[in-house]
Parts: sequence; structure tokens; C-alpha cells
Amino acid sequence: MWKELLKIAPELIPVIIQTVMDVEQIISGIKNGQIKKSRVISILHSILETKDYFLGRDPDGQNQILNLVSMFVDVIVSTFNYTGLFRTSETFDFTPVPVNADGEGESNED
Amino acid sequence: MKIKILLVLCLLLAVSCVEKKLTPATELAYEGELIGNDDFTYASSAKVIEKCMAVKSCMGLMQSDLPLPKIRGMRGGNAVSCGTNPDGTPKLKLGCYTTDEYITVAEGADLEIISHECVHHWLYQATGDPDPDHSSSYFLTCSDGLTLDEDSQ
Repeated sequence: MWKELLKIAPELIPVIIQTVMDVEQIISGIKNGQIKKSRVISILHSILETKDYFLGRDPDGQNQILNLVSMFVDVIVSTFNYTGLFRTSETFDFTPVPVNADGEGESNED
Repeated sequence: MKIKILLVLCLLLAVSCVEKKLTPATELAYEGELIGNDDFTYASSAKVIEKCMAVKSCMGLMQSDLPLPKIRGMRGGNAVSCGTNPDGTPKLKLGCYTTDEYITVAEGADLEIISHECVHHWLYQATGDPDPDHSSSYFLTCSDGLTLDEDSQ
């Protein structure tokens, strides 16, 4: 199993990274963390099927591969979050902004 | 080729496991209403309110007349002090919610933290329990999966 995974890793890893980045670009915002993850896994499931990685495996064997892929996705996402690749670049800015007479703040944000 | 890929994989794993060093922000930058005080507000207020209201809506509380939280912005570090550890040292977190209805965060921190803290606030308003243990599923479904350990007291 591990031998097989190592054999397919050079082809599979770039596909996983690309899928994670594509899904991150398409789906963004609140409430979507779980949706993004399930979309990535579903796409990877289809890719694995198309490339015959699942050929001759029982459902348990397929699930084992998907679990490993899922763990790898978590590692990739954590890394991208840590390195700032997924950051929205929106950060807290407590610079004082005077409030106009009509009660609107002069925001210096876009 | 395979060795190179495995090395990159190990590097990714190592980077993701490294814990960011938290330094305490001690200078008060802003304290008051989320929407701003009488004469001035703060640059991120519009986005902060938008995110907090999005959480309220996500939690199905839009029809409830509940007050917004207050906010305390700190400068000089990337973390805020949320209580103390058993050894007496300050417990540093990315953000914290206290039952005086204040959310405390550091300037420069990711704005997404507000969603997580607002889940604590709306839970406290709706149920009287801010859920410091994060057992509510709203932390997953309404704050983009961001989890901060023991950030509510």
C-alpha cells in the first residue's frame, strides 16, 4: 500500500496541491471551510478513479487512500495558511478615523 | 525526482507543524463599541461589523434583538493576554472573548478571528454560555473552521 502510494506520489501531489488552490480560489468566505474540503476530496476521488488508482481495490482500500489524501490536504492547507498563501490580507487596523457629522466614518479602506 | 518530492513533502510537514511565536500586545489602540465611539471609529470597523453580522445570520439569530459585542484593539505584539496560566504567566491567544462582552484582539491579526469571537458572543447572548470549550458546531459552520484554543473565559 505505502509502496504503491510512494509510486504514485510524484503524479498525485501536484494534482492535490493544484486542486486545493483551485477550490480555494473558487469558494471563499464564511461558512465554507467544510464545503471546500469536501469539494477537494470529491474532485480528488474522481481523479483517482479516472486514473485507475482504485482499480482492483475494495471500498476499504479506497477509503484508506482517501483518508491519506485527506490528511495530506490538511497538511497542505495548514502550510498555506501558515505561510500566508491563503490569507485574505485583511487584518485588524485600529487607526482612529474621525466620524463625520452625518455619523459615517472616513474609512481609509477600499 | 521522487527523493526531491519527498523532501518537499517533509519540508511542508515541518513548516506546518512549527508553532508561531506569540508576543503580547500591551498598548491599547482602541476600546469601545464595535461600530465606533462618539467622535471617532477605527479603520476596520465596517469589515468587523460585516463579519460579526454574517456570523449572527449564519447562527439563525438575525431576527433576535441582541447587542453587538465591544472590541478592544491592542498594539505591540501579535497576541493578547487572556487570563493566566497555572504557573502565573499570561495566557497568550490570537483573540479572546470575555463575558463583559469585549472581544480583545491584536492590531495586524487576521480579520477572520472576529468571526470566531463573534460565535462566542452570540452564543453568550442567546444562551448565557459563551462555550469556552468550543463544543458548539457553530464554530465550524459559522467561523470558517477557525479554532482558537480556550480563547473565551
